Amino acid sequence: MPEPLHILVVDDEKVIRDGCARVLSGQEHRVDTAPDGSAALDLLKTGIFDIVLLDLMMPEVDGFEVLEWIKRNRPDTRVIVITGFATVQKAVEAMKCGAFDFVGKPFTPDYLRIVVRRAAENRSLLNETERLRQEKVSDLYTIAQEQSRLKTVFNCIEGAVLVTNREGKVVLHNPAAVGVLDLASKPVVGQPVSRVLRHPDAANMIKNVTNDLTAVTREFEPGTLSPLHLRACCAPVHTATGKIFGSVTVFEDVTTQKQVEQLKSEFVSMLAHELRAPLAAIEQMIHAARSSTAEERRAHFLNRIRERTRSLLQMIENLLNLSRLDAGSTAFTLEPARGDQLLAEVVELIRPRADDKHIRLVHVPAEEQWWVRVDHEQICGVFTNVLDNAVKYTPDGGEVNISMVKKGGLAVVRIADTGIGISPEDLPNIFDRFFRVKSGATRGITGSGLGLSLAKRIVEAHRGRIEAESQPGRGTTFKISLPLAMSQESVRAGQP
Amino acid sequence: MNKKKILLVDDDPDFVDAVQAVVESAGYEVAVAYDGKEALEKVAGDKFDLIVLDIMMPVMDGHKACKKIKEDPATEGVPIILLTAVADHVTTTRYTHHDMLVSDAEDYLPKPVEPDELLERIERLL
Repeated sequence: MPEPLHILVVDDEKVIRDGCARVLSGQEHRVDTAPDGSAALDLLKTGIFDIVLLDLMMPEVDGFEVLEWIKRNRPDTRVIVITGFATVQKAVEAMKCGAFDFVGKPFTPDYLRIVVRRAAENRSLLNETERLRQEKVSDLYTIAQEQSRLKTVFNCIEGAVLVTNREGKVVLHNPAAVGVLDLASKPVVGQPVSRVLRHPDAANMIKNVTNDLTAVTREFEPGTLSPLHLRACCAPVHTATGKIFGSVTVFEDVTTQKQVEQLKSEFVSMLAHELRAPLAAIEQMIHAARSSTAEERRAHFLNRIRERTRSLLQMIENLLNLSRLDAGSTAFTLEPARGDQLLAEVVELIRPRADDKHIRLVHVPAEEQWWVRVDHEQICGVFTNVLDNAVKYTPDGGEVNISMVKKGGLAVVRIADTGIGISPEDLPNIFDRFFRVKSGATRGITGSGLGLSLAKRIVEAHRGRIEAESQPGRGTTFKISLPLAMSQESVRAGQP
Repeated sequence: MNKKKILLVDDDPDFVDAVQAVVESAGYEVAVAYDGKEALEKVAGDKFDLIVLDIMMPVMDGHKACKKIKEDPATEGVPIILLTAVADHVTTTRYTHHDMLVSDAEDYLPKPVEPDELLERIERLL
């Protein structure tokens, strides 16, 4: 069953109009009729017709005029010319003007059906052709899009990608290759790879991969191919039957990775030394204590052994705390704390050690109550560390002052000693891990070399800062700044 | 009879104390220094029969101090025992060769040192 069409019958003879309408309506087509050219044009202008049956010989606006309009404005519409035998010539002329077919009067209903069906088939074929054409266009568009996507991906790859053909000439590279491989500014496509890459090993690698058909990964030290440390993955490109097309090489910048590995290995050997030296001293003292006959000497060594062991344990503790901070797995419980109360606690903790050395610990509380939001344990640890250092590095009979000044929303706690001071060369390094000032004056002072780096990390985690200034021989002042807590928080904590 | 004089050089005061106690108990006279530079100063100012020298030290390490002492005709004859903090057996062997090759020390001992072992080596060199 052909699909229903919308058909217009234009003829000045009512018999023809009605006849056609009857025949075609019986086939489920929708049929409109027009008695003359101008009525036809009115209908054509407002509706879309699949097929127009058009009498050429009509008064006023004749069929040719209607045909012309249809060709110009409704090119998809098929026109079948209705004509008398006497005007076959006209029909031929009409076909030349773009009519699809013609029927001569008089015609049988069957013949009319055949002609209409032919027109309909032609229409649907053309529609199908158009659909295929559009499909092809859209496929091409998709391919183009896919290509552009691949090209974007290729261009965005951070590593250098270099494609060579089987002759070892560069056929393609991404923009990153220029920078990563430090390529010469002139175009490299078409050049032999040996002329493009700055080290013969790289060209040989690509040559071998293309010959042996096995992928290779190797590294290029900084200064060979480029100032970067590069890791190259070179793979051959071939068909399933082994026909070689060439090679693809990706050069990845692993400079940072190498530096991290280097730092890690340096850290481990530094740590090994820091653990080994005190352990060697401890074992040596055990030997000495054993063989010592003088009770006083033996007691001295045992005391020192205890001191050194504790210091080692402290170092391991600090190391673990630092590592937890690095890993971000330290949970800080921030709570409002009265600043001077916190400092007083720490001062009392350190006082026995200061008394041993006859060092005066002077804590001057601020006139007004001040609050900070801190993790009590961690911040006490920081103050203890800095204060303990101050006592350690201050000769007997000295003084350590603890005070606080407010400065732009910060509580700046000053811990000033009259100790041996730190030289300008050493001062920038005191927060580095395992850094310890080694001189005659610091001889015999034990420490992990980790306390200050830990203090710095903790203070910074509180959005504060720690800094030190020093005059060698006169003393060192540490300033620990922490954000002051809002008064509201003080109220919430039940304090005036 | 005069006591033999030994210079003991290490940057860890506890270690120096402990070795000093052992060496003194064996009847030697001991002077100490805490880095290579200080050792050279001591060597320049006094005559020693033997030097026990640690390698890893601040300011000037044991290798450098050893080289200077051996270069100086006035002190080249003083026997030197080098100390390294390497405990591991495998690395000890490696260090032995390395240290003996690059410095002209007469002997070498890993830290910590067995008192008897140290005294035996000292005796052998004197």
